[in-house]
Amino acid sequence: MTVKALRAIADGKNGLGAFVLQCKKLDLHYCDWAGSSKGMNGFIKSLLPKFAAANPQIEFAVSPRPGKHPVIVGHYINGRTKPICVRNLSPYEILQKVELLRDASGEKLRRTNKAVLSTKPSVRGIWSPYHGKGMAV
Amino acid sequence: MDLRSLLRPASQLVGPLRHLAAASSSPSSSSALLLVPLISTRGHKTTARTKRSLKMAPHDSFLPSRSAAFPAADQIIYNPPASEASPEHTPFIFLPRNDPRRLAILRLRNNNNNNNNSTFSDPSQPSSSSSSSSSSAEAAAAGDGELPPEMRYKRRQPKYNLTKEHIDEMRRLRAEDPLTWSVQRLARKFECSTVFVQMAAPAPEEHLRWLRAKMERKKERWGPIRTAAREDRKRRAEMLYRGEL
Amino acid sequence: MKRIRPSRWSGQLLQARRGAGIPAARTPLCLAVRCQSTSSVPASDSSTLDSSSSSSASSPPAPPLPAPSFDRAPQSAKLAALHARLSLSKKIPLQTLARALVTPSADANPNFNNANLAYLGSTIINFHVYEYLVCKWPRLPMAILYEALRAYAGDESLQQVARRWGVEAAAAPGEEVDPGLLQWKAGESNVVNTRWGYIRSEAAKGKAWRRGLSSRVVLDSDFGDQVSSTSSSGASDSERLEYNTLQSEAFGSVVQAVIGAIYTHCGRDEAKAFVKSHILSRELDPSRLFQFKLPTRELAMLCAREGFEPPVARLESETGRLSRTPVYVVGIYSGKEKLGEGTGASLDVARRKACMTSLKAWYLYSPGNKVRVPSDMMEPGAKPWTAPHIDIGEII
Repeated sequence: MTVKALRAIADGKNGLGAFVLQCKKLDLHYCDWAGSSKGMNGFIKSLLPKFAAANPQIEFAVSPRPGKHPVIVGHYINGRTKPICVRNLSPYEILQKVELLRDASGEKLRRTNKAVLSTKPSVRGIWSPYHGKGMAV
Repeated sequence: MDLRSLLRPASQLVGPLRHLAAASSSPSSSSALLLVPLISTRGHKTTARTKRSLKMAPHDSFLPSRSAAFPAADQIIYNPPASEASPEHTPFIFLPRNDPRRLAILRLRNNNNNNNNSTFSDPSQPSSSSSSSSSSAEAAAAGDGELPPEMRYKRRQPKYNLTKEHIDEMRRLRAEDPLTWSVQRLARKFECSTVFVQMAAPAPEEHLRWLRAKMERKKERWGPIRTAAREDRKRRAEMLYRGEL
Repeated sequence: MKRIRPSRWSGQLLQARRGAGIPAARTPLCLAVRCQSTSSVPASDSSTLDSSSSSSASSPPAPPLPAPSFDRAPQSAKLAALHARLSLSKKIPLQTLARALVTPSADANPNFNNANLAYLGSTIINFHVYEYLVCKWPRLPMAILYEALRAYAGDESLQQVARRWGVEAAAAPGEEVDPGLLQWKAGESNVVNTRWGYIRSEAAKGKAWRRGLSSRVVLDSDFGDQVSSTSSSGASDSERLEYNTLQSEAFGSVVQAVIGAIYTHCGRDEAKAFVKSHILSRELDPSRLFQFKLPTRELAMLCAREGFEPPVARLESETGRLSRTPVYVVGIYSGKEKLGEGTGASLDVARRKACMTSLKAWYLYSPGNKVRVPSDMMEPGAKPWTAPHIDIGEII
């Protein structure tokens, strides 16, 4: 027995087998008094129950924050949070923001300029000058 | 590539001009330098231009063969990668008997042999018979008998030439005078490997202890550079075996 | 692989016997108050129990429970969100999920913690991962097989799974904590043993002495680790490490318990589908697990055993032999067949690398990406079973 084993941990690939929604909690803060919260209050009254019923994976926490602008904070599985200030927005605009937070992965936004990102090695391998027949230029 | 092919006629046009210029004026280098801007090359200053200039037509081996008539039958484009073969591609003899890949490679080889025998050779497709890196290409190449040269390294070549008397003699000599009858010398005398001598006629314990002490004394004299080099070598070997190098 | 006796386990789990595994320290009053999680009481029933508990608990001040009561499970938003996030079936009540989050370190009573569910789940996970590994890579040596199993189903891997489910640990376990948080604390020894194996008789001979690898199948735990009679007592030298292992054990037990719960409530097929989508979908490159010692000799032994011609190293191409940075490409051939190749800065290194790739090519033989595993036969209307490739064993 000359082969020994090294330790490794398999990498999880979300969405490859099962998909787990990355947004785990949404905090909705509103103010009863301030005018900037008018849309937020309307959203909480009219749209939120339906939205919450449609997205049971997310824990919703509605809490007052008197004297401040209304804020929605998304908490993600990777530990990051994403706050969005929704002052003076109408309920449907807030719904768009909430959907944005629901669909976000929680990662920092970064530019993708590659069509495909893969963790698998290339099927044809890395090009090597010592193999193949070469190419006449 | 297409840019280059475009440029080539231009440079061919310019070439004679340059010669003319060289003939007319004595400081030829300066005139040639002056003529260089005639070949109007724009720098790839934008992504679009860079992309356009780097866009190359696929190699011929990627395209279906033009020798057949237009509505050609289904064809397998065989274009082995110019890369090191990965261990994921199991070599032919490592495939178990009932594996479908084994049968497929066998069929491929038979076809190749038949093709070679029937003097059918397509000059536009030399790929199927040339030796290449991947295992499937190697399968095609196996019939050729052109293998790279063997390396020279120490390997086991058992001769089985020793009898019991030889081994007794070896033991006697080793016990008699382990200093003169060293492992190397016994191996040379009996034409066997040093490992065999070490197994068949081990030295007396006090001799081994003496050898070990001698080695220790030698190691003590090593300076920091040599010690570090030895340790690094050991570490490199471990990394190699772990597949990190 | 240890034998699974699901009928026995599920029976025990479904109707845990009152007072069977209860330590004497627990007062009987407390017992009467708490209700079983897995019996999936309807909401009205739980409310009556709740009221009775409040009435009975009002007269004497009961000691606080070590973990949140399962009566509060339906009110927990975190628990409901976790249930939906894992797209668990409606058959699995929230109380069971709450129980899966209580580790033995928080609540030692086996009727209220996840130890039994976790053990059931671990057998299911290990069974499915094992059968997949054995069918996918039939020639893996046993040491590699154990490590591959650990890479998928070990505690560290399962901890990552649990964290990616969004499971969070409570700062400290207690009655007032949200039941949707993982209840665990470090420094508590496992009361319920979930590791099964034998204490080896040769343990007295010292740590270095160990019997052959194949004895691990019977004598040791699922990952080939030796089961020690005393819990590991090396806390002084590596307390941090100890903390990390306990933590990964706690998080891993959640995943195992959830799978155990799926098996108990929904059955075999659901549990298999869940293991497949959450654990077997993880990515592992088994070629990273190998550490060789004498690759050239091992390859020669392999060729001798299989009846191939002895391997010969051939120099395929080289560059810069007299320079500071030469490159040699060496191929290993057996007769006319190429086994593998390697690149290195010296002839010897290239040859050893080529031997290692050849050995990996042997060990990593796979019949294909879509292998059938024995448990596929349990599906209704399965095609007749064709035996997978069975290798004769490793090179000794």
